[in-house]
Amino acid sequence: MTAPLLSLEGVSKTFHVRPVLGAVRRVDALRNITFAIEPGTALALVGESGSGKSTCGRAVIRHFEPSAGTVRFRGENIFENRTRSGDRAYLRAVQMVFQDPFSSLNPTHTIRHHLERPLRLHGGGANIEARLRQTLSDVELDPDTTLEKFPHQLSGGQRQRVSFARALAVGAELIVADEPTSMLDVSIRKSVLDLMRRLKEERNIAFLYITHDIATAHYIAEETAVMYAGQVMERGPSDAVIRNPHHPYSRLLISAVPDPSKRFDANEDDALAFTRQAEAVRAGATQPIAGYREVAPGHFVAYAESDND
Amino acid sequence: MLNLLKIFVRNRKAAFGVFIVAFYVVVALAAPIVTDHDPNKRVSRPHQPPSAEYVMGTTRMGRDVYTQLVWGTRTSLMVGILAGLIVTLIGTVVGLTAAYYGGATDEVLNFATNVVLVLPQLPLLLVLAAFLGQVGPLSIAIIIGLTSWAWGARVTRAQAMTLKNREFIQASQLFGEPVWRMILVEMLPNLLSIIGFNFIGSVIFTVITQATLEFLGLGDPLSVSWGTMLYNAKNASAITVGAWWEMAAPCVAIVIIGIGLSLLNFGVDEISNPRLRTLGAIGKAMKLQKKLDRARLAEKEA
Amino acid sequence: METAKRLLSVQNLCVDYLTPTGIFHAVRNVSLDIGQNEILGLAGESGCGKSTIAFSILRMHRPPAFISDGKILFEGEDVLAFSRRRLEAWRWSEASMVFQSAMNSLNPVLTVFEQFRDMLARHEKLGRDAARAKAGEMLAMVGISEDRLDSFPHQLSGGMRQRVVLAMALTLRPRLIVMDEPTTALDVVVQREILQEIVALRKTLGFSVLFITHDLALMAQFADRIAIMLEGRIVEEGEARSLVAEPQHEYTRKLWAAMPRIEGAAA
Repeated sequence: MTAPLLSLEGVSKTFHVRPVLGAVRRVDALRNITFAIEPGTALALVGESGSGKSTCGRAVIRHFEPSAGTVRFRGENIFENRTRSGDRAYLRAVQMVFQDPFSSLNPTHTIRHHLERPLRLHGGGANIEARLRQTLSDVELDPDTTLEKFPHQLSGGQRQRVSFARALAVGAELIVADEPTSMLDVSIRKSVLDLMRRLKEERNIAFLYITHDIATAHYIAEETAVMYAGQVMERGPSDAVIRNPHHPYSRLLISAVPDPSKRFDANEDDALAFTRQAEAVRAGATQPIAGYREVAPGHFVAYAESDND
Repeated sequence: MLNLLKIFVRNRKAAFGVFIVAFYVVVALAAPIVTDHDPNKRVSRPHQPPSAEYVMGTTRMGRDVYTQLVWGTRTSLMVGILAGLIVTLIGTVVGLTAAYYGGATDEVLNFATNVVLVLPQLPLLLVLAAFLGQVGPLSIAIIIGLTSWAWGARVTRAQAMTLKNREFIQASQLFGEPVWRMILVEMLPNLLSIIGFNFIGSVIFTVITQATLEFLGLGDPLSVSWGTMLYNAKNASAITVGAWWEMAAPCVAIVIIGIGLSLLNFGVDEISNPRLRTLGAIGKAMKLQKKLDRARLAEKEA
Repeated sequence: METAKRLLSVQNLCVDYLTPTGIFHAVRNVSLDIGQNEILGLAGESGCGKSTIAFSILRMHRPPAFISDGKILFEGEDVLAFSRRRLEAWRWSEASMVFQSAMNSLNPVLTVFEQFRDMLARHEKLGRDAARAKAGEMLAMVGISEDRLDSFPHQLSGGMRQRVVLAMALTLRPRLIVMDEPTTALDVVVQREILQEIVALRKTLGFSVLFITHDLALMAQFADRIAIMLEGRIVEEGEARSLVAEPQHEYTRKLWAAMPRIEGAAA
């Protein structure tokens, strides 16, 4: 079996927030995160805001160093023995696409500038024009009309495509996509997801797909991990996790996804019951995880100290 | 370019500002053409009121106020712009560097900024000028420039910090742009509005400060500028003796350039921030709505 | 819909924006009705005009937008012809609004109680203690404990803040609440909690809702009738069940197809 492209082993991160007045607050953003991504596959990291999924993404692009645990890229610990050439190689291989299509591009420069810079930095100046055009076509944008435009002249979906093109221009093998479609219009979300699928299948690019929308997870990701309060609750093949969730939190999440066939005909008691159940599940999920049970090959479910099984 | 002009045409405040500033600049440049003689030449009897021959009257020493004003404009504007440039340059560099690097660099630069901000500027300038004796306009420009950059640095830093957190900066860092390119090519173009604003604000400030210093007698009495005109007028007790024109001319000149530059600032903001370019649409829409509302109300009551 | 059942009747509404490059027609000749105790869902993508309609109904649209034509009949009276005084009395007591981001609609420097008091003092002239009792009652109604009255907005979670906003919108027992994407910024579980709350409250208090969103699946669960907007016009309208089962208009079908769905998920 090939070694995974990216693997996180017991990664934890604690932030210390120092307000002007008052005591220093500890925020355990990540607690003992473990998962791996094979080359050319996608893993969906699903969670609500504050679950730590974005923090995970930032750890992978080396925005900060974890407080504990290891992050390996092709087997090598990315935080140890850093050399200049090693750093450059990592930059090339791992890129990020951000959530906000409006602020991911510099409003004062053309699209040409946005793509030329990474192409030059990572591939030299030879044949720039051809490479520019190729990169844009790879993300299904027309080079003739797009190159000379400014970001505000493009739609949100087009801007996100340029962000992907930027990652391609560098030569990325793993793209961390942090909620790439949540700020886009509904009717174009699917086309951007389709683009990601194509890039994965045709160019063998791996994705760490961070999202709060579990319905999109199985659309492009082979594996799904559900996070809450900095911990992974459940992890496994997307199909299994979504159709057969074991952890109470995963079940809560999936039950809350709007299902047109189930109408709300709630009365006061139903509403209160749901809220209470949600609170109880969340309280349980906040407790530190004692370990994982493998309920099916590759399908892991967390359990806490207090769970007797 | 055409869009730029359109903005100035539709934004009346900015258009006015451009007109005033341009007028002053033209006068300063064309000084030899619009005047016939040396500003320090005695042309008539002292304290002549404005007349057909000397439109702004004469000073205590019998010099032509009009000629002095025109040549004074040249000096004052030059000093103002030079000092403004120094202020803007230092302020931008300090603000940008502090914002980009953060951490210890930020702390140190912040401290320096705060010190300069808190310095009682006028007393300091007085002491400096007294120490250096009577200083020419160039020295004044430099002194003012070196002591007034703090506010601009603060403002630039704040703006640069919001910029730094925008994702396109992070993306550039992610694919390995060198720091100098990040600052000059990616961040700077987004800060042009605040820099322009700073520059114009500094010019207003430096023009006034220069006039103040010279009024207090610290300038070179042989040079001709608005400030020295005021100094001479004060020494001649111009107002007391009724020769108001000697004092009024430089005063009005300063006030009007101040107004012109301020109005210009409105335009700068609109140019660099396309989202502010409503070109009067908001006012128009409001009026239109009020009109329609009144019509509907009237219809109902009818 | 028969006249007797109509709470709100928007007729031929036209809202335009004055831009530097000309007039932009955001809402083009839109007509829709909301019945008593009915939830009407207005769906569409960004720029279609749905938020503009929401603001226009309460006449809270801001220049450069202006209502150029049409009528908004609330129980037969044209809201657009209200005098300033009548409008201010009508707002909040008969029709209120819940905005998208609670952090933007709650004053960050006032406690929850102070926000209520402000509103109650203006409309009902209640004294301090009476206001506190009323505020506590409203919070209980949306499932928040009374001791949160003295918290500041930033001390509450996103879901709680939106519940506070909902409680404030319900305080004066309005007949119509306009909700502009109230749960878009919230997590899916919290969204469910809040929407169930709204449905339950509708049963007890009785009010109509104009619910604006881009999430068709959500509306199918929640709304009685749905209207789909595209570029300032309503392209399809009907009972939620039938619109979901058999969408007629091409755009509706496109919206449906665009959402990856979980097929046959276990719950």
